[in-house]
Amino acid sequence: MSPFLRYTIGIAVPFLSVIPTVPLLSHLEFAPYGVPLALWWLFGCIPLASLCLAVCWFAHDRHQPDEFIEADYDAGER
Amino acid sequence: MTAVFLGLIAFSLVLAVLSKRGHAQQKAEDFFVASGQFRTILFFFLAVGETYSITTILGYPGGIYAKGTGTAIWFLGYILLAFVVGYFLNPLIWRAGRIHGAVTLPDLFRRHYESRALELAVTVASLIFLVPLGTSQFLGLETVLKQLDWAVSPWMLTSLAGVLAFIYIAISGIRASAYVAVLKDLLLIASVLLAGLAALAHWGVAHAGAAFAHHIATPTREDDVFAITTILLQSVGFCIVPQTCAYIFTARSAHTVRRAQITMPLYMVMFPFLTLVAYFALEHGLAVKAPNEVFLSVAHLLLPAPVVGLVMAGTVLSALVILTGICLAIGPLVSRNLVPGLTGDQQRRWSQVVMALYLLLSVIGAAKSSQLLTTINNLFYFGIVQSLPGVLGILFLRRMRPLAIIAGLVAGDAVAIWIFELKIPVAGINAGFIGLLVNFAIVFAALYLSPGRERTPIIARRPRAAPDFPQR
Repeated sequence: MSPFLRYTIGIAVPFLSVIPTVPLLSHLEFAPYGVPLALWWLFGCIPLASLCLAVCWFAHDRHQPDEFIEADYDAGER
Repeated sequence: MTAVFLGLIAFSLVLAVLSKRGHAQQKAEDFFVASGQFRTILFFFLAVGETYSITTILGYPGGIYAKGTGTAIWFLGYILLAFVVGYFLNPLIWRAGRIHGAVTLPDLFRRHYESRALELAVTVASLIFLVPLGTSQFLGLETVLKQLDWAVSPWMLTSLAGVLAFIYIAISGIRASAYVAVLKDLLLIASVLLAGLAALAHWGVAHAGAAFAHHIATPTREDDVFAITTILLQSVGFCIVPQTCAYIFTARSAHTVRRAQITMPLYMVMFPFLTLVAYFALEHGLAVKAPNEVFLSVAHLLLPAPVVGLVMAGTVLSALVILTGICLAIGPLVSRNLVPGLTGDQQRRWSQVVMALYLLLSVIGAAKSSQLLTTINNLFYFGIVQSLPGVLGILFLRRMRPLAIIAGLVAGDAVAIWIFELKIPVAGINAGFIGLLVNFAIVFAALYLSPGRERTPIIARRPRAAPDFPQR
């Protein structure tokens, strides 16, 4: 997966699904079961966000070497 | 109800004691950030535990009850996108923490920019804006504990809760916080699902639909602007609040952080049920003294007493876990960053004194305040997020000047407070967002006009994996 695709799926899709989509939808009077469409949409964005991140993980990040760094918590102390 | 409540609280203390096993002699870094040893599952529970506070369970339905659907939109939107931003940003913050041996965010600033003044500026700003957050937790605790109908003053009850939070911390610092967070997260999700399902069962889907329709109010342009700017500000700001940094630094590796971030949005499944509870209260004309009481009033009305005890324990623990997180962020801010030169043992001892004082001040603050929990949440973020340009400088940029970051931080906080306190009309834009724009303008003008000396950003310092570390 290219970095462009990674950021598109991981960041652009979840952000565009919320901003400006949700405020725009909240102006519609359509309300299935009486619940504003904006709220239904927002609830749907929850699994969508997880799915987008999972795609980034399984298609790209898990194939990268993990980082394991020993921290020196006393370094730079006065 | 009381027996279940007290039993679960007692069990949380047992978990806190168990967390100390194998870590009897804790060094300061183990006390504050578990020496960066947490694996994915414990890291996930700690992260979720530090995310969903009593503000979520009481403030979210309270906000809808008092202000309508607009609250739900920005509240859900920012938490959801915070996990998305965190997937990409938090592993870098983790790497910065490891490279610089940081326990707090100001540690990063001091070591990356080599500036004591910048460390102090970030520390003081963090401390100022963390104070109301503790107050908000005690406001929520007061709402819950007075429903026990014990013949004790609310002040005494919240003080006892403060003592309990301190006991967790004193037992084993962030390890106790993480163990208690596991219980809290399970109880919280169970509580919300039970209350929401009970509301639905009592109500009937068709009736529920009619109720929702009554409470739809078309948002104004200002509502939209507030929702968008608040979501943008707080979704990024969430990653750099002091207690978030504290739990990021507990992770064992960068992949640990990423794996946990993927599943974090799924915990938000509780929000549809919390929304249902809020609308149930609205439709049934439930009489509550304050909007923050909506969730518990519905639970009392619809659930059997032992289950209400479970709900109350989950709610109380959600505040206590957050309080331990805030305390574990504030302690080292004072003992490492505000007062330099203390040894590890001294840092730990002085932190405990600071934490006790903070809890006491927050209890007093709660006794004198009655603001809506979601308002306090906004206030916290618009101040704390002003460290963002400096953090981005650590992670991505080479020539930022510490003095410019300080100027931006002070100006951003000043502008945000000025707009908020004087209620200056800004077309609905979040005051913190305007402060952040001013902040960025100052920092980037300085970067363009008078760049500082070159420092290698964290993004360019990708370390090699240790040879004995499992590769994936």
